[in-house]
Amino acid sequence: MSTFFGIQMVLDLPQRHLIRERLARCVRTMRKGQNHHEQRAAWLQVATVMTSTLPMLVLGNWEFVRKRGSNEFTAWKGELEAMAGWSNHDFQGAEQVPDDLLLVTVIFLIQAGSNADLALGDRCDLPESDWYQRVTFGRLIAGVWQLNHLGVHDSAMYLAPNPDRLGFSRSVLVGGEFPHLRPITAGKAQT
Amino acid sequence: MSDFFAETFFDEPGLLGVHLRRSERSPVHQFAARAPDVGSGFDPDWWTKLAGGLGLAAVGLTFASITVSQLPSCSDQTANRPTITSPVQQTSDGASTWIASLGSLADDLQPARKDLWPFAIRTLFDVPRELGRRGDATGGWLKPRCAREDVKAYEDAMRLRLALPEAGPCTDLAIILDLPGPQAVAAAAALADLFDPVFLFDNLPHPAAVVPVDETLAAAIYWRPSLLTTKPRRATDAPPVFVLEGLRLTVYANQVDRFDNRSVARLPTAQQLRTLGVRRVLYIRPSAGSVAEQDDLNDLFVAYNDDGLPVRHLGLDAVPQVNAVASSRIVGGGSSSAATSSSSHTAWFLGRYHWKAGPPDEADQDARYRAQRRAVAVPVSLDGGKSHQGEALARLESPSRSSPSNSGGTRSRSNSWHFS
Repeated sequence: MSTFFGIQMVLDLPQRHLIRERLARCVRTMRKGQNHHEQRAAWLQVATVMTSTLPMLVLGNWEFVRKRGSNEFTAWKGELEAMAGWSNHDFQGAEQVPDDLLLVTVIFLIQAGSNADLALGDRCDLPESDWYQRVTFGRLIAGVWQLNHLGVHDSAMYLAPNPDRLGFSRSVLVGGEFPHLRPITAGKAQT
Repeated sequence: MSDFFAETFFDEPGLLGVHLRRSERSPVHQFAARAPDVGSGFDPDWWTKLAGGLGLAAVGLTFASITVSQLPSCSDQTANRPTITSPVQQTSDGASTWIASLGSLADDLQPARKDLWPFAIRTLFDVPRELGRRGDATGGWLKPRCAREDVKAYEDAMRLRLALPEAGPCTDLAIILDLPGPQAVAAAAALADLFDPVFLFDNLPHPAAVVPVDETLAAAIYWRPSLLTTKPRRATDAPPVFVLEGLRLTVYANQVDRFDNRSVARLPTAQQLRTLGVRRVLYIRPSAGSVAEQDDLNDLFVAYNDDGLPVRHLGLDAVPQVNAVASSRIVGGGSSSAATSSSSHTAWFLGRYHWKAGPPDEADQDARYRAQRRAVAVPVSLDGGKSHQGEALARLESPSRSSPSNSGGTRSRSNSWHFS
């Protein structure tokens, strides 16, 4: 039994923006074989960088799935890794209009009932009206910060396209193959 | 042995990604199945206690690579030097090259606005440069720090940063962060794309210091990349965030074995703030319900208010998270807690700190707090330890360059650090 947790963020990040470089560095750092301490430090850095991207967040999605987490993880991983074979045409759509949008995804497969599972469950227990608020993504990223990696079986981070390349066209992400991505709202200003 | 390994890695035009899997042969994997889950973060002390409690030296050795970097060193050479808690190997951008830039720390963290330069105090951030002149800019003890409470301060401040622009233009707003140093630096990093950080750390570190600014310095090294990368996004006339060491007035009873590095805040006057374009001040303390200004700021805040510069007080941990629970998003058996009311942090902030005429919309003692003149006696002579700078730096430089009496000995504290 395992739990799946994933955050997907579309960031409006111009080419050669420093945060693109920092995100790329996070992935490359994580690649190295790591002990537990380094793993936690690496994800802490990922969360720090992702938090700093919140003002650039335009579309997003997240999932927290219990009981069939392994299936969910495999599905997300498969679909994301398939993008390694995409061409420019796939990212820029029929109009071939390049844009600055970068798709950032982090996914976790977590031991059911572990502290990580329970803590994330609490954090994800939100009213539907808040699901796509910017502050909600900040809250979820903070969950990554506090994740106890003793309970994490698998974790992955994907940047698509490669940050040193032109980004997604908006037309591809909005209404195309990514119907699950939703516009981010600023939150309810109850004055 | 690696506890995790990269099962897949892509560095293609279409994708940069990595999938990490926990090794089934790793000690962490084997222990995770047996050990109780301890808190929301990895706790090296737990493993140490486990090893000690069971008398299993082998267990301690197995986890040596995990715990050694987080445990205070007990070696003779470092026993008389500061020990950074929660050290990390890399800075907030994931780089490990922080040592090369230590000497320029004070210059890098200067405010971007030149008219703010007179108010910045470089005493603490100049220490690595001084140590560098003596051989080793780290002194053999300085390293980045990222503790859980620092991350929480960053997270809380980021929520505030997101709320402020939604609550209206903040070009005339100055923020004063009066938090324990490491948390103050972390919070400043979160605010730094809207506000120009002005650090006022006027304390020298020392192994026996009253104010533990060695931790503040270590946090500044960790958050330095975040502070630098936000500079280009910041408006050229961004308002200031004054960053104070919140522990600067830590109680000190003239103990002979302590190094008195306390200091008093030196903030701009009301007139100077007006010249900087400031019309409002938000003063931030760590906790809700305890937002009164520290003693050394009382006269100043009364003067601000009297001069028409309203000062509002906020506990950093009071900025709420999205806290409501109405329906569960958890698929497959998550909890289904009862509904509670929902309010965004922006609405929360607007209701209390909207700087409009009259009282705040909502009853909130912190928001209603106003500085009242009170009889306080702050020793204005507190100099952060600068009158003993030579002694302090001798205690901070690399052990290999220490004087013979400091190296390798186990001198008692009572005969080592007497600065009365």
